[in-house]
Amino acid sequence: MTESKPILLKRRRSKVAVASNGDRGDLLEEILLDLRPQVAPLATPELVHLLCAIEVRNQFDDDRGPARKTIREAVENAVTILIHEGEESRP
Amino acid sequence: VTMLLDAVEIENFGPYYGEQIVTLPSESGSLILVHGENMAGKTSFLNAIRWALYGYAKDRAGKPIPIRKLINADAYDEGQRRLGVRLRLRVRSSGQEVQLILRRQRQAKQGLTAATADADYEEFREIDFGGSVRPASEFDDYVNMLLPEGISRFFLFDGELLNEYEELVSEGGSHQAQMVQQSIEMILGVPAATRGRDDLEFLRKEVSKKYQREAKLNSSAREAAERLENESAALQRAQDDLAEMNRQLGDRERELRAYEIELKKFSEMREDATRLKDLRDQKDELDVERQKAVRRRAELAKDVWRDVLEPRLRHEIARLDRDLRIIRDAITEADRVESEIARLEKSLTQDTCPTCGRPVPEEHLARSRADLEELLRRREDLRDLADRSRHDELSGALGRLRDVAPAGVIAGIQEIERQMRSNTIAATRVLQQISQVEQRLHGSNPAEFTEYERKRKETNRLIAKIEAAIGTRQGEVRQREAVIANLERAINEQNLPALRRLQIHLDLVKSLEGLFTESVAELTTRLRRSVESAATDVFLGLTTDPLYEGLRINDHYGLAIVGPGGREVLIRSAGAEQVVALSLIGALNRSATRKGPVIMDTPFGRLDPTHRANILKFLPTLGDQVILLVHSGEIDPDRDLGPIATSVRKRIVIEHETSTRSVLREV
Repeated sequence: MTESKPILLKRRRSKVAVASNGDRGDLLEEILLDLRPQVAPLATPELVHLLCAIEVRNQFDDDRGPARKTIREAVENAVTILIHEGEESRP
Repeated sequence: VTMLLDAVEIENFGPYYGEQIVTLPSESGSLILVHGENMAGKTSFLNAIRWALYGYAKDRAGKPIPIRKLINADAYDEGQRRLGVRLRLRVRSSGQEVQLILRRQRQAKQGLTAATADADYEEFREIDFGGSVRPASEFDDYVNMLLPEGISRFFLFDGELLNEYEELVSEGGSHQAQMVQQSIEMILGVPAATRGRDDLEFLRKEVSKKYQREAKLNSSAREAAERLENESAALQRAQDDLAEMNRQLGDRERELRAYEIELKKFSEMREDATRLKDLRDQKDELDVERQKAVRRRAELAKDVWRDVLEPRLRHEIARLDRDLRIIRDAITEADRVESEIARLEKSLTQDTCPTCGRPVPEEHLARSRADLEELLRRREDLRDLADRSRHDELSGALGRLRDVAPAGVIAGIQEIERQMRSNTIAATRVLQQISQVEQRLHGSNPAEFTEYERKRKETNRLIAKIEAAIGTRQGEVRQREAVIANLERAINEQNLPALRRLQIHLDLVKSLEGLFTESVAELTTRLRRSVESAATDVFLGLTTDPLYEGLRINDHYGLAIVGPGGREVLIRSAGAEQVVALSLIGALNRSATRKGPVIMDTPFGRLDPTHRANILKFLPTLGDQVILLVHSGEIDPDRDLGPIATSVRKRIVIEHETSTRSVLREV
């Protein structure tokens, strides 16, 4: 389940955003996690949770730049972890 | 996130001259009633809130009202060229509460006195969030985060939603219905999934380009990478073409539906024409029946005086009957006395007994004389009473009175008048129906029918052409995707260390894009089910028909009433439509990702008293703050407030002082 975050989040250019991860995030996250093993086995539940929270928070924001930047960073971090884990598991 | 209104401050807006402030309670379940007669300024109050948030006010046809017309007429005449609205809001989320102040003002540019066009007015916006003044450029960001315009129709309810809702249930997929559907999906949070899909598609393309660039640097993969790059560019072009063709297809399909709606109107028009003839025949029959009834009543009315006199006649007849009986008894007695006198007088003239011939004893004679004297006195007493001519006179009068018997026509007249009242009601109903049908038929031009048929045919031909082109392009896309997959596989098989990270990156982003794509369909399906269940719950509380089992949702979020045996109820009254629309609004408010004040303008227009009472009981549960703008015909404070008195936290009256000024007063 998506954890509820405080109401005030510091955002780009010190803009104050009102957000709640509880907004429909629970249902979307449940669906994403159900589908994940078949559709995106590479993605960890933590990554799915994070992407879901970002999209829920930014769902009414027409400026996609900040959301994409956050997602890009999250995916790149996940790639680093995947490579690291792959190297570790190599004999 | 919940947003509630603490106060609305209006300056020179519509009928509100000068500055007017209303404070609003915002505890959970607050019901606020704003009473105002037609033209007093109820819709302007709703418009002021809409204008403050989104910068526009709508007229009855849903078109934006120019600034010049929004400024209070008296203020404008005095030379004031300014209007403004400030909303004091309370934002609640995750147990925290922050005050937000939004203010919008339009003022004529310096030196402009006429200021007729919207462009003649400068806009000023102020925003204060939790005591911190924010730049005006963030105004729309805050509004979008709290109450995006796309979902405002479910908070600022102006009756127009009902018409839009009727579009939804028609399954026509009109442009308007699509807009409502988008709003519903927005309020339910579907954009979180669709935007996730779009963002990941964007990132996938970004990573793919990087991958191709990196592959080209490697000599063994260069050729395949260059082909991959070309194929990807060609695929993008094909996909862009496909998107454009789908857009065109959508436009043509909308056009087609519009023509079909027009053509349906023509078929309805033909039905209307037949119906109009039937209705006029019905009206003629009712008129004939009425005339017959009037004649029958006139005939019966000739004898009605008998029924009117009947109680007095009955009394008079009884009196005469009694008098007559007394006279008759007296005459009979007089006759008897007379014959007795004659017998005694005769016997006194004879001294001897006619039977035995012996002399009559003196004491017998004396007794007979005494009896005779008695009888003579009695005859004297009866002389006046036994009046034969009086007897004949009374007997004649009685006979004449008995001829004037009651006619029993009053009940008949009452029955005719009852029939005439029913006839009047039926005739009024038929006349109303005739007027409605005539209005529908007014201005219709059957010649346009041919033109619409031609347009429909032409559009169908275009659609078929676009669909064929889409089919070809889809084939090309599939082909190119297969080529790209093969090229990527060929590069991957080389297992180049420089591409390893990018390969994993691309695979991950692709799979995440697929994950969000699949989640969209699943999310909308589940949300539809949840809306259906919540709407059914609300509907069963509102409807007065015990046979209704619930509501069923369609792909467009239209709701059908489910009757006995799970069958859909096909014909719904205007009142039922309103109850279904309110059920949808209730369900959406319960399932919404954003919650705000629900402001409803004239919500009871089409409802009977029972439905109105049910909805009044339901309204406090609709949202944390429900503001109803009502006229006295909808809610009579003395009659209707009983069951909800405890929920009504405040009452405000809009007083129409002059034709150009109204005042908001708290009761």
